[in-house]
Amino acid sequence: MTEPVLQLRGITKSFGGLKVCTDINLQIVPGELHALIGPNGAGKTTLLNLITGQLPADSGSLSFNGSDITKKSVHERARQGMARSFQITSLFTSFTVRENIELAVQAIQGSSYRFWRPAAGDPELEEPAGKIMARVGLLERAHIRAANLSHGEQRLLEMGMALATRPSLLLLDEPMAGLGPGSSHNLAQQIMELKGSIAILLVEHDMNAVFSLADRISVLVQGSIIATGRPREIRNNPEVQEAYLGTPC
Amino acid sequence: MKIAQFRLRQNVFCLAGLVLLALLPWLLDLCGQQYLLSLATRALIYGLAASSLNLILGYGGMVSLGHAAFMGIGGYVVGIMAFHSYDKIPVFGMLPQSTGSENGLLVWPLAMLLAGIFALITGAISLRTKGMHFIMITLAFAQMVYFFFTSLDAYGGSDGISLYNRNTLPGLDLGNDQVFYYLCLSLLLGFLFLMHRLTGSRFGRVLIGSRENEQRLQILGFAPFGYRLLSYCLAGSVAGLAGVLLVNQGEFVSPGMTHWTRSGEILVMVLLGGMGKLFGPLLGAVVFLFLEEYLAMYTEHWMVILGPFLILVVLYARGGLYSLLFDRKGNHD
Repeated sequence: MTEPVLQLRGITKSFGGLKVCTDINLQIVPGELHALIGPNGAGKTTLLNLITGQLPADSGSLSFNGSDITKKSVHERARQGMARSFQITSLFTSFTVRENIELAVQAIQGSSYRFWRPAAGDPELEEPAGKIMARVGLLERAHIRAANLSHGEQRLLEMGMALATRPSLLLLDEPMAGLGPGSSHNLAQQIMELKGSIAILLVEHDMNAVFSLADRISVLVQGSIIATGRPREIRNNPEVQEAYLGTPC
Repeated sequence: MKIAQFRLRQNVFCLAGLVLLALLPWLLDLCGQQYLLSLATRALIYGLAASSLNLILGYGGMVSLGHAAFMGIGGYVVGIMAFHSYDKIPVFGMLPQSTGSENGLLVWPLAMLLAGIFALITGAISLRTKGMHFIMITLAFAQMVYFFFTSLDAYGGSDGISLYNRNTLPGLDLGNDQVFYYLCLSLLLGFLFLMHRLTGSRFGRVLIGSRENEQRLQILGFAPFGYRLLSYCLAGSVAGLAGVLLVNQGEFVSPGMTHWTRSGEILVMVLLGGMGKLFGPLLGAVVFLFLEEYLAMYTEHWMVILGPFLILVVLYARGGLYSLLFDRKGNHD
């Protein structure tokens, strides 16, 4: 078996007396699209925050591409190839679409302690950014401020920024939240195209999307993973049906 | 196009402003109002200080209420070095080689260096906090500097130090008010050009990004702390230079220069003019000082008029006077 991209061993997190993640073990292998589902408040976003380092884990360990990252900070993990989109859109709102993507591109081009040359018009930034914008379909909107984009376009920009850092692991936190059917389909298409080239951990409420996109699914209920498996196994797992849907069916 | 129109208007105004500043000493001579030159020089110096604050406040999102401390450090370096040069006593009773100096080529870089080091130390501590905590901690450091200078009895304590004359620079007669005015103008424009390049560079984008969305910046792989600290040091040492100029202009330095109300005034200049705009703080400094001067002619309670005026500007022109003049409605920033 190939070495996993991301491996969580016994990750536990509590807020005061509230245990939000209990002994989480999770493995993501190269190229797979792993979906994380669970009822509201199951701790899905918390788990993503633990993976990116925005929250420190109380116990347990994480390794990423073979190296231990348990004690690494958010930006160090990002530098090693971890990218994320947020459930609540998180952009540089006064920047244009192009500037948003270019800042992400800049992150993987060595030191940004460069003080004199204008960043605007720099071909080293413009070309990769252009490719990314074309890929997510925002090329025509390049000069619009992120704040003035539609919600769907902002979600695409989130995705574009995450891709621009050329990650080996992409964490997507409800990328389709709040999208209409058209945009939702468009985004699913984007994810489909990425499938296989990088490992993706997808948190999503849209079950149709999850079951059609995912290679494997993990189900998180009250801070514990109760099942991991192929979509068919998960669909037919009585424990999952009871915990997730509330009633056996 | 509307945007092009506004951009044109902005360029025309800025160019006109620069020409006016360049010709000002001559114009004042022409209408026999030479006394206004010292006020104009002071506006340029405060413009420099406010612009340096704009770098960290407007672009970096760091609300510092201790900027006058850097000016004070710069000013006191000039004062103390001059004091020792008159009396030929070694600085701090030690350092036998150094008996003070009035040479600007030595004193001014030293002042900027010390202000920068102070910014490095205090910044390394205060930049670990955010928002209100950052405001309070910068204020606290600045008050420490204020009380430190007040306690220096050898250097006049709260009375400060008077200089006999301005520092010397080779080839320039700084005693001449017009020469001094042009020196201040060149230093200000030089810094604004530097800031223009800096904020447009890759470094600048990260700095502005840290103001906009720190979480996103970290997720992209940037550690904002270093970018913030570096700009904090740069802002500190340039404010130190502004202090140097202010003390040279008035030939006097006292702890009052570092009092927190001074930091507040500089902050108000930035807000009034327009933070995050290259020329905003200069505009703010000019308007603030001229209002202060003219209102004080009519009433000693000039604050009563200036205060509400500031509140109106802050309420109704979020991007300051600069945005009021040059931005379309709803397109501030």
